[in-house]
Amino acid sequence: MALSSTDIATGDLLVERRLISLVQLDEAKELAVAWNVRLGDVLLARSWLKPRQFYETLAGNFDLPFVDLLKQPPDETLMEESDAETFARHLIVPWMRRNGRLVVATADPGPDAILFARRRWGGAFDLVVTSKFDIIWSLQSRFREQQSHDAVYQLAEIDPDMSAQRVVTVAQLIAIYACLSLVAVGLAFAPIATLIGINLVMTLFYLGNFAFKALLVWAGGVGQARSTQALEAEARLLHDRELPTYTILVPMFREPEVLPILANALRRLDYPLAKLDIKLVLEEGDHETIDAAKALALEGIFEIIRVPASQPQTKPKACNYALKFARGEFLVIYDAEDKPEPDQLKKVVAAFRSSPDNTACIQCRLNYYNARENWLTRMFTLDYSLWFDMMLPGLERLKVPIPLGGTSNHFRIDVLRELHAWDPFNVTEDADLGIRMTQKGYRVGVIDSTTFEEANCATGNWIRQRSRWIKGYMQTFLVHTRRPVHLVRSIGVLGVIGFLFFIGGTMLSGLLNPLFWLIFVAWLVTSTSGFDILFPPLLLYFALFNLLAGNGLFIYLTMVAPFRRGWLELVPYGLSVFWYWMLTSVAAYKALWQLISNPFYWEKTQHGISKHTAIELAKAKAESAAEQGA
Amino acid sequence: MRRAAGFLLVGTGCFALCVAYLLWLQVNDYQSASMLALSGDVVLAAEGRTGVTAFATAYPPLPHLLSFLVAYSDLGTAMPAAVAAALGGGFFGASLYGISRQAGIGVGASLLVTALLMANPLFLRALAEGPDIVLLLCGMLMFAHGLFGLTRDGTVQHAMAVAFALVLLVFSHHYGVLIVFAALPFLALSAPRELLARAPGGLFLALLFPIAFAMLGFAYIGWLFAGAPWAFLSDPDAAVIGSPERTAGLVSLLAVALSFAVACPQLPVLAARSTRRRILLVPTLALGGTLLAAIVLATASGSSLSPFLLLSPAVALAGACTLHWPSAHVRGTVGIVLAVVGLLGAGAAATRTTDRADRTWRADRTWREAVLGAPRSADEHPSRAVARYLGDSDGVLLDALAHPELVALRQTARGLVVPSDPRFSLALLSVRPSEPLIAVPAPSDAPVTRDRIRQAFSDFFEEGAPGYRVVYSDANWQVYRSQTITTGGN
Repeated sequence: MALSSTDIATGDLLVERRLISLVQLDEAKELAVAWNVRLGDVLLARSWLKPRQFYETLAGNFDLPFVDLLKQPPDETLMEESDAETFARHLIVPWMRRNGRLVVATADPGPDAILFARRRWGGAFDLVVTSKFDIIWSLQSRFREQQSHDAVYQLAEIDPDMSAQRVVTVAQLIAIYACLSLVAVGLAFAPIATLIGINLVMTLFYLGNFAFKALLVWAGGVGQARSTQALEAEARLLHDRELPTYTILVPMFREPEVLPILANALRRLDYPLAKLDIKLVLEEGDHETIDAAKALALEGIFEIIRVPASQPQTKPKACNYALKFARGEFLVIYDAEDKPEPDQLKKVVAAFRSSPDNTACIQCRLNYYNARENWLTRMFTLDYSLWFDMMLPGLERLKVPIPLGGTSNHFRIDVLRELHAWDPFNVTEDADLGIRMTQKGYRVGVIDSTTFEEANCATGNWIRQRSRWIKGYMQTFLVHTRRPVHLVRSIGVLGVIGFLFFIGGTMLSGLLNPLFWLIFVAWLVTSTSGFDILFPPLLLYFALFNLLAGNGLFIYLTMVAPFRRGWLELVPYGLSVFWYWMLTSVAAYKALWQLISNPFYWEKTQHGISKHTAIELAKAKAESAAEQGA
Repeated sequence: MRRAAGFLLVGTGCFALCVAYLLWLQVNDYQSASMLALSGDVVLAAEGRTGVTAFATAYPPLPHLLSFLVAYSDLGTAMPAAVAAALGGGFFGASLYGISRQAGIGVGASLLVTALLMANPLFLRALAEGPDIVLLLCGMLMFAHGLFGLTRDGTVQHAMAVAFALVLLVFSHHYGVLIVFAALPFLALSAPRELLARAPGGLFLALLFPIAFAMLGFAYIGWLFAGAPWAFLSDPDAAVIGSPERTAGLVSLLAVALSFAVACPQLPVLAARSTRRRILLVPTLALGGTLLAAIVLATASGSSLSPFLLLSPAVALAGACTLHWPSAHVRGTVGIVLAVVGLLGAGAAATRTTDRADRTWRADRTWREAVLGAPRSADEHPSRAVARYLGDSDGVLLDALAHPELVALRQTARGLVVPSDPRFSLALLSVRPSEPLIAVPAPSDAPVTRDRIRQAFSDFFEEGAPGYRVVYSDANWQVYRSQTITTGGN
C-alpha cells in the first residue's frame, strides 16, 4: 500500500524543518509501506524525533492548532467513563466547548478522526491536534477513580461466582464442615475403618495424580515436532503489513534495575516496532521505577501507565487498569526480566490464524536463562521444563483447561475485555483466567516458543513465590468448584478430572506428601507394626505401587524434562528432586496458612538478584549504548 | 479416535487368532512347561492358596500379574497363562499394525504385514511358550522402534520408549536381563552424537534410570516381603544364569545364527540398503548385535531357553526394520515380501534344525510336532499322568509351590493341602502326615530340592511312611494313600 498524501506532506515538512534527515525519511517511508502503518508511527518507534516535535508538525501540516492537554486539560463534563476505551483506541477526546462548537483533540488527524467525530458528536465540531501521550494521560486523570474501582471490582460485581473476592461460599463452608464432621463421627465410632477409608482416598488420589500426569506427558509428546515445524513455516510466511497492532503489558513494581533488559528484549522482537503498543504498568507510588523508565528515554512505542494506589495491590489489578488503554488486537503480558524469543509474536499471530475461532489465548513456554546458577535454579528449570514443555501440550491435546503461566500468555483483547480480564483477588490470576476461559467456551492453545526469565536463586525468595502460586491454585480450585454441575457441563468430565488432578493435585500433593513421608520414615526406623492395620493387603499393594512406580515416574519425568532443549547436563539433578518436593511442601503449608489469614496478600518475588541478571543487564546497557552511538 | 478404534479392532482379532492357535496346541496335548507352571502359580494365588509374599515377589512380575488378573477375573479357563499369552499376542499384533499405519503403510498392507509376522514360526513358538516371552517380544518391538527414533531425532519420547522398553524386557522374562546387558554397548553406539558429546552421563541416566529404579524397587519388595532383596536373580525357575550343564555347543550357536539370518531377513537387508545412511544403519546393526550378543550370553551361561525361543525376539526386530524402511512409498510392499521370505525361512529352519537330536532342541521339536498335529516323540510333562490320577481327589498333601504345573493340569487347587495351609505345616513339623493322600516327587525331579515334603521326609519316595501304601507310581511321582483315613475321590 502506498503512503497517504498526509504522510508524504508531513514527511516533507519534517525534513524541511530539519527535524529528520532525508535518509531517515526515505527509510521511514519504506518501513511505513512495508508495515502498513502511518509514517509518524515509524518515526516515533525509531525515536528519530521527539513526539512533541512530530505532533506540532502534524498540526502544521493540517493547519490546525496544537494543544498541550497537560497544561490545558479537557473539560471533564464532556467525557463519560464508558467512552474511555473507545477514545484511547481512536486517540481522540472532546476537549472543550468554544463559541458553541465542540473542540475535539486528536493525535491522529485525518479522515478517520473526522468520521469518528461526526458519528459521535455530529457536524458542529472543530479539530485540534495533541500528542498520543496527552490523550492517554488525560483519560487516565479524568477516570482515575472509576477505572481504578473497575480494575478491582468489575469481575466481582458483574460475575461474582468467578471472583475470588469471597474465599469460600456458604455452600462450600457447609460441605467442608460436613466432611470434617463425617470424619470425626467415623473416628469416634469406627476409628480403624475411618482411617483405612481416609488412607484409601489418599492412595487413590496419588494413583490418579501420577497416572494422569504420565498420560499428559505421553499425550503432549505426540506430534509435537510436526506442529512446531508447521508453526514456524506459517510464521515465516506472514507479511509485516498483515500483522495487527500488538499490546504488550509489562507490570512492574520496584524493579528499576531490570528495565534495560526488558527494553532491549522488546526491541529485538521480530515484529514491526510501530505496531507495538508497549505499556509499562507501574504503581503511581513507585517513583524509583517511574524515574528509571523516564531516564531511559524510551522510544514512542513505550508508554508508562501509572496505576492509582488501592487494595489489593496486585499484578492483576494493575493489568486490568492498563487494559483500558490497550489498542492492540492481541495482548501479551511479560515480566520485567523476560526475554521472549524474537519470533514469538509472529508465531502467536500465525497460531491464532490457524486455530479454531474460539481460541482466546495462546500460552508460550517459559524457561530460565540462569538455569545453571545453583542447585535451586537447576531444579526450577527442570520443574518448568516438565510443566511447560511436557505437560501443558498434553493438557491442550486432551482438551483439559489450561492454567496459564505467569507471563507470555497472548490474548485476543476483545475476549479479555468480554470476560472482565483478570481477577485481582486471585494471586494466580493467570491460572484462574485460563480455567475461566475454558468454562466460558473459549480455548487456550500452547505453542513452541519460549520466553526466558530469571529463575529464583534464593531459597527464601523461592518459597515466597511458590507459596503465592500454591495459594493462588487453592483460590482457583475453590472458585471453580463452587458450582460443580456447571463445571461438569462447561468443561466436560475429562476436563473436570484434569482440573482436579492438575490444579487440585498440585496443591494437595504438597500438603499430603510430608504426612506419608513421616509414616514411611517412622515405619522404616522403628519397624513398627502399628501401621499394618491401616494397610490391608489390597491397599498395601496400591500404596507400594504409588511409592515405587509413582515416585520413580515423577523422578524420571523430572530428569527427562530438559531433554527437548538438549540440556542433558541437568538430567542428574533430577535425582535430587525429593529435596525440591520438600521445599514445595514448606511453601504449600505457608500458602494454606496465608489463605486463611491473609488471602489476597501478594507475596512479592524479588527479581534481579541473580548474577546472570547482572550480566544480562550489562549486556543490555552496552547494546543500547552501541545502538544509540550508531 | 479412528486410530484407537483400529488398534482395538486389530488387537481383538489378533487375540482371537492367538486363542485359536493355543487351543489347537492344547488339542494336540501341547502345553509348555513354563505356561503350566505360571498357570499353576496364578491359580493358586487366585484361589487364595499362596501368601502375599509368594505372589508379590514372583519373578518375572509382569506375566505373573497379567496371568493373575486373568485368573482373578474368573474367565472360566484353567490356563490363565495361555489367555495372558494371547492377550500379549493381541497387543503385539495391534502394536505392529499401529506402527505400520504411523509409518504410512496402507490399511491392507499393514494388516498383511502384521499377519505375516505373527504367522512367523518364531512368533508362534514364543506364543506357545507363554506370556513371558510374548511380553518380551512386545518389549523388544518397543525397544527397536524407540532406538530407531532415538538415533534419528533424539527426542524425549524415543528416549523414554527405549528406557521403558528395557524395564519391560527385564520384567517380562529372565532372558530380558541378558538382552539388556547385551544392549548396553550398542546403546552408546546408537545414541545421537550431539547428545552423547554434550552430556553422556545425562543421556545414559535418562536411558537407564527406569530400569535401575525398577530393579531396586523390586529388590525392595523382596526385602519387604521375604527379607531377600535379590532372590529373584537366583530363583531356580527364573534364574538369569542357568546351570553349566545346559550350556549349548558351538554347533547349536551357529545354527541359531544361521536361523536368525533366514528367519529375519529384514534386518540384514535393511543394513545392506542403508550403508550410507547412518541414522538407519547404526540402529539396525545395534539391534542385530544386541540380539546376537544376548544369544551368546544366554548360551554361554546355560540358559534353559530353547534355541528357537532365544531367537524369537528377531520377529520384533523384523517388524521394526520393516516400519523404518527408508523409502516410504515401497515400505508396505517391501514389508510384505520380506515377511513372506522370513516366514518361509523360519519354517525351513524349524523343519531342518529341530530334527537335531541335541537336548537343547527337544522342546522346539515337540512344539513343531504339536503344531503339525504329528505323533509326539516325547512327552515334556512328567506330571501329566499323576495329575490325571489325582483328578479331583480331596486331602492331597502336595508341595504345590514347588510343582505348580500339577495344579494347572488338575485345573484347580481345590482338594490340595498346600504349604500355605496350617495342616501342611503341621504335617511337616510333627513328621506325622495325617492327610489321606501324599504326592512325593522322585529324587531325580529338578524342583525336588525345593519340595518341602521331600525335604521333611527324605526317604518317603523309596520307603513310604507307616500307615501309608503306594497307590500310584511312575518314574517321577509316587502317591501314597493312608490306610486309615478315607478321601473323597479315587
